[in-house]
Amino acid sequence: MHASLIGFAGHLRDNGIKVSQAELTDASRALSRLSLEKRSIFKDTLRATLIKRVRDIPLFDDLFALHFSSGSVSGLAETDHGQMNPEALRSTIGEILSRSDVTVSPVAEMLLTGRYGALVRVVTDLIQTMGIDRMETAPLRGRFFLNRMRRDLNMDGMRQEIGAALAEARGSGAGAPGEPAAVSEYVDRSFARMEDVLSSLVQREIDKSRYRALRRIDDRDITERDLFQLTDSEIRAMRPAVDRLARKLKDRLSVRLRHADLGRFDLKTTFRKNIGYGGPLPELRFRKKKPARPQVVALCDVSRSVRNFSRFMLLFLYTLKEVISKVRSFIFVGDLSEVTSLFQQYDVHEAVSLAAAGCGLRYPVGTDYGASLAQFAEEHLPAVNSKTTVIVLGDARTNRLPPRIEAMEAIAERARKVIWLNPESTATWALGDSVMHLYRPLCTDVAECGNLAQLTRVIEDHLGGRA
Amino acid sequence: MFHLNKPDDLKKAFYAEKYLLADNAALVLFLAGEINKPVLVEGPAGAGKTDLARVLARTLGRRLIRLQCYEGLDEGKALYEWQYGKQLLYSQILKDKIAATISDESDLAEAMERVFAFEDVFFSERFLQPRPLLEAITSTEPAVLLVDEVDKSDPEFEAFLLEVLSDFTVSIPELGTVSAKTMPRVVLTSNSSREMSDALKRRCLHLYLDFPDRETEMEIIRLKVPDLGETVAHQATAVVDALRHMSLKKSPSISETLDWAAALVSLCVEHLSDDVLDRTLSVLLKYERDLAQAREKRSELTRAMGKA
Ligand SMILES: Nc1ncnc2c1ncn2[C@@H]1O[C@H](COP(=O)(O)OP(=O)(O)OP(=O)(O)O)[C@@H](O)[C@H]1O
Ligand SMILES: [Mg+2]
Repeated sequence: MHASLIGFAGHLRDNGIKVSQAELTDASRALSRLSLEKRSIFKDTLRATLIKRVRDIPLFDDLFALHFSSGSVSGLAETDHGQMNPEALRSTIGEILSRSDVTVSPVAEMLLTGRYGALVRVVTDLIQTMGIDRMETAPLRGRFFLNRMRRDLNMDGMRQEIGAALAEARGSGAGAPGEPAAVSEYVDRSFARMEDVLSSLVQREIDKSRYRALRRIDDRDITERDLFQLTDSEIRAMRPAVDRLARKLKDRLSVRLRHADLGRFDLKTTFRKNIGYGGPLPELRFRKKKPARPQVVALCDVSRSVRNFSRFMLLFLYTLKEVISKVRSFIFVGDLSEVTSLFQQYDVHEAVSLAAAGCGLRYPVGTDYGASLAQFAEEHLPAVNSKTTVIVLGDARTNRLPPRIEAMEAIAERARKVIWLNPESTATWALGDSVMHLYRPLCTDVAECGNLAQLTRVIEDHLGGRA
Repeated sequence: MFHLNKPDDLKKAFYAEKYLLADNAALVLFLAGEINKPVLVEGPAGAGKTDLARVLARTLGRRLIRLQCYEGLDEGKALYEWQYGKQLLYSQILKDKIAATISDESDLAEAMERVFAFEDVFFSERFLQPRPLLEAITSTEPAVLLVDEVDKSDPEFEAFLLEVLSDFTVSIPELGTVSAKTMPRVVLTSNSSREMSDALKRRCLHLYLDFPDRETEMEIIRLKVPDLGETVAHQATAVVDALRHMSLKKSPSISETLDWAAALVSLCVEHLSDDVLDRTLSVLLKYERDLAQAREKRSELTRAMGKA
């Protein structure tokens, strides 16, 4: 397999794109079936075999450009030699060097006699030993690396050695070195090209590292951070992750309903199962129930104390309504207001901002869980039925106001299930003005949900695990 | 019979079938044949995913077997069904037969044997109705299997599909294991309504079919609606392109462009005016809200038409 392919796969993985061994093998097999006369064929082949998520395509395009940019070492072979015939010159120089008393660095020999493959290996090794490919953002250190690379390769020394060897050959007059002018021009051009290649290589590594730094603001890294600490743009950057979760939650709710209970009497299977009995059909069969569409009613606290949590949860709800057709969303602080149609009318950014600002609430300050739940029970209880999952999002800090447990009871009684997600850690649930311990017995599931990773766990393990 | 050795040959063959195959699509279809992999085609509705598979079958001279996925599709419906009607009929005939057979027998054990022998026939291939997956596996001629809109299926079905795609062997409890006689070419399409599992994706080559650029869409119109005049066609693609840049609930797809083009031909339009645009816009946009938005930004559309 191409070494460059493995290197590129590593580069993709560094940037969060999953690449399996099987896919690498596919890429390599595919490449072997093609004549790669066009760069686009090479690129499209890698994309078809390695990139399987549409949203990774732009990232792939960037990384491909970085990794296979023209400043690659193999660009050496493209040195412009003008009118000269490089083949002839190379052999002339080869002769001069073999006869010369001056010892010339093997690197220079590789460069001048056209052994670019070996030269490429020397240079890439050097990049690795120097750790340029692992450097953290340090654009200013580009010059530093370039100088070190030139020094390690002994570029200036090489130039002098070659100069001496050529002078010696001219002096001795031996072996007719063709036109001396052509030879030294060839040497000049080759070295100039080598300098170019070195500096663009270093530049490329700098670009890569800058890219890595930018990509670090990525959903994997913000997942573990408390939602309280996130900025707006970070929350928006979570969109893809949230999207995934919403779909997963839908799957969870649908699967669970499917196994719920028996459905219609099934003539077909009854007959098949009982065909052996010949006459009567003693073992009745029921068709499995069609997967009932899940329904969700969500109540989201948008008060100050949970500001970022609710922004994130509203984003989640907005996304959820795109995968589950029956989602009704409510926000509350001192009273409660439905935002379902708001979510339908506005794009995600506006909708979340408006809802988070408490749009439609008469009392947007001073959280009153009891009043909000009671208002819901009074005005919207018919929205809850045996197919409905009610999700409450909030910290259950009710400012010492009455919790109105009976309202929660009325809701729980009708709902298929009640899930409460609380951004605070369980340890603080019974402290201060939190009444979580009072609502908790009425819920089917309660979970701490202070960051994206926890929400993922809630949806994947918690909701999936129990019947 | 057909020798499509290079991506370019595929492009030509598709062109002959009035499908304009993009370079990368030709490459992926070619590679799928070379290294024997299913292709997962993703893209917006109406980008030409289903047609791609259909035309592939035609150009390869193969039969197209289509499995349309939907929520609730299960193994049974995708693989095979017992024809219980026939079985029922057979059992009626059998009843009398069995009675006769057994009355002949003095030995109980032997009578049982005979009954069982009849019974085996119930679950033989005679009463089996193959559905698309089994059809593709048992086909004696290599086929093209299109698993259409796989994202609509449930995760459980996807897991099952994955098994089938990995070794083209299925087991039918009553009959045993059936292995593929010939390898079908497999194309899966998805509208990305949900992410497919990593395992499934690993097994496939991936092709993203986006809406075409204006030049390409012009070409497609020339292929499919050759009667539309060049000027109008230019204007039409400009409008479609402008609409795709608005944030609509549903952007016009290639099918809508083609419908529109056909409508413009039947109206004998030679030059798109604001008036014609107004009257025909509903061919392109399906939602009231989108129509309203497009009318609101009519000046943008007019500008696009003018430039074309
Ligand atoms: N590249 C193309 N060349 C010619 N015709 C095309 C091309 N792409 C799409 N079309 C035409 O556009 C129409 C829509 O294509 P198709 O039904 O295959 O879309 P789709 O991606 O499967 O959509 P959906 O997701 O709605 O099923 C068809 O009439 C098809 O012939
Ligand atoms: Mg389709």
